[in-house]
Amino acid sequence: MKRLLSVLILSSLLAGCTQHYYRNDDGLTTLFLEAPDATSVSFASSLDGYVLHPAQRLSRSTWAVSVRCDTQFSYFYVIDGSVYLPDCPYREHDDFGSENCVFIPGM
Amino acid sequence: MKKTAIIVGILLMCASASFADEVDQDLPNQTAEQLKANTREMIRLGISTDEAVKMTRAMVENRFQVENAVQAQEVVMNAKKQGLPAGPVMNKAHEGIAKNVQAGSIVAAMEKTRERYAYAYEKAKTLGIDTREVAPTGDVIAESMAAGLTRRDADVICDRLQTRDRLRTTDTDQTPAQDRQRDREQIHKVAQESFMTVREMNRLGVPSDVASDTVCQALENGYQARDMEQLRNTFMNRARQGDPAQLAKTYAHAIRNGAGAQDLDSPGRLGKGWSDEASGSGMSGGPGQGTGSGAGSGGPGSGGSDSGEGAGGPGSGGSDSGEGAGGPGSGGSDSGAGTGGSSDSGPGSSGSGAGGDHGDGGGSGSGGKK
Repeated sequence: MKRLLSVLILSSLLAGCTQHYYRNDDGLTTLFLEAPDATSVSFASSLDGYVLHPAQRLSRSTWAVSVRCDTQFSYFYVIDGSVYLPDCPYREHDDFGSENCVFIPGM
Repeated sequence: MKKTAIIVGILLMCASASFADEVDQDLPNQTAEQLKANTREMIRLGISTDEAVKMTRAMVENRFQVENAVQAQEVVMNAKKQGLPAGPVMNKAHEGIAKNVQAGSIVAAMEKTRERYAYAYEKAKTLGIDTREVAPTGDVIAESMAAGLTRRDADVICDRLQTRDRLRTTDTDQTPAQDRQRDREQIHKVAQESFMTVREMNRLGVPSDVASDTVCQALENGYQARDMEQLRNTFMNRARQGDPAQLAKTYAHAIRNGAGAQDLDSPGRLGKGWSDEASGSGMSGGPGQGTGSGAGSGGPGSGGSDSGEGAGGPGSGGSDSGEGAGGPGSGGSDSGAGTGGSSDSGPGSSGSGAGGDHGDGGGSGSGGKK
């Protein structure tokens, strides 16, 4: 019973977490964001002057955006109107008191 | 003669009229004349019409006060006049707008960006590299600073690079110009690789002084461009499995004790320094992190310092969390639990990075950490 309770608590905690990962197929990089509570997700990057691109909803919680590039770039998300930075390993200061994620191909 | 002058005059008028039209046409009607004039000035300074108009239009559409918009344009023009890249400064404006930041703060951030590039380009010029290499090196220095490198630490690295340069120059006073050119290229490559290494360390959260110390140790120990690149690649792979700051300290310590770039990829060769600094550090991943079995059955460093304190060495057995890279070669199956065979990074991604170091102990990667 205790174990079941632990599993349930852990599952509920994980369900509320936002995860971030990517996949690269033939130069097309797709970034995935797990944001179960979001109603809209946009993606902005230094590749095109931080134009906001709506992310595609793949499932109830998974959002995706694809970019074709072989260079590094800085990026962030806007979830329901608020800037959102996922748990990304590479970061830089944004000069506005916050940070951007940095995408490095192959990393 | 008079006729020619008239024709040239007419042509010039036509050209300026079409030039004005382009700015007028592409900017919203309510755009202040001063902003239009500045947009033309930006174009005259060499910024593409599209980029200049895009920035002005974005500011007008986002209801910047004219005063703020003019200031933003001036920052861009100042960058251009100083021979600095206007792109990062203009990008900062777009980034601020996308983040819904107030106009005044956007102008301040643009100025900060311009100052950073001005400083970085000045530093690059002091390195004695070819003029055409100043921009790429300056860009990397500026990006390192955006990632957290302080001016003081940038100075320290530049001083170290200059010292190497002086030593090299003294050694080669009598050498032909061709060799000197080759030396300059070498200096440029080392500088570039050094700052790229610092940049990635800073981006991974390594404090400025720690990253700078690691790179300076490498420079002091005669690392060439290729060595520095190897250091960076090894570091980036390993840093995903532990504390990057601690790993950088470990590298600095090892290099100080004479470790070459290739040694950094095999903890066993680092001897006492590696295990001393790694132990208890929370660094959960030297090569072999994960579910390796066949502990110590022959990977480099399988004995000695790879005691499993903090950093699991090649073939050190799988007491780590099971996250991350595949363990050292299990007969070639560092497979991990990736999806689809593509190069994923993220939950369930394939074991990559530091795993599969020379070891021939058992072990296969399990699911990747975030």
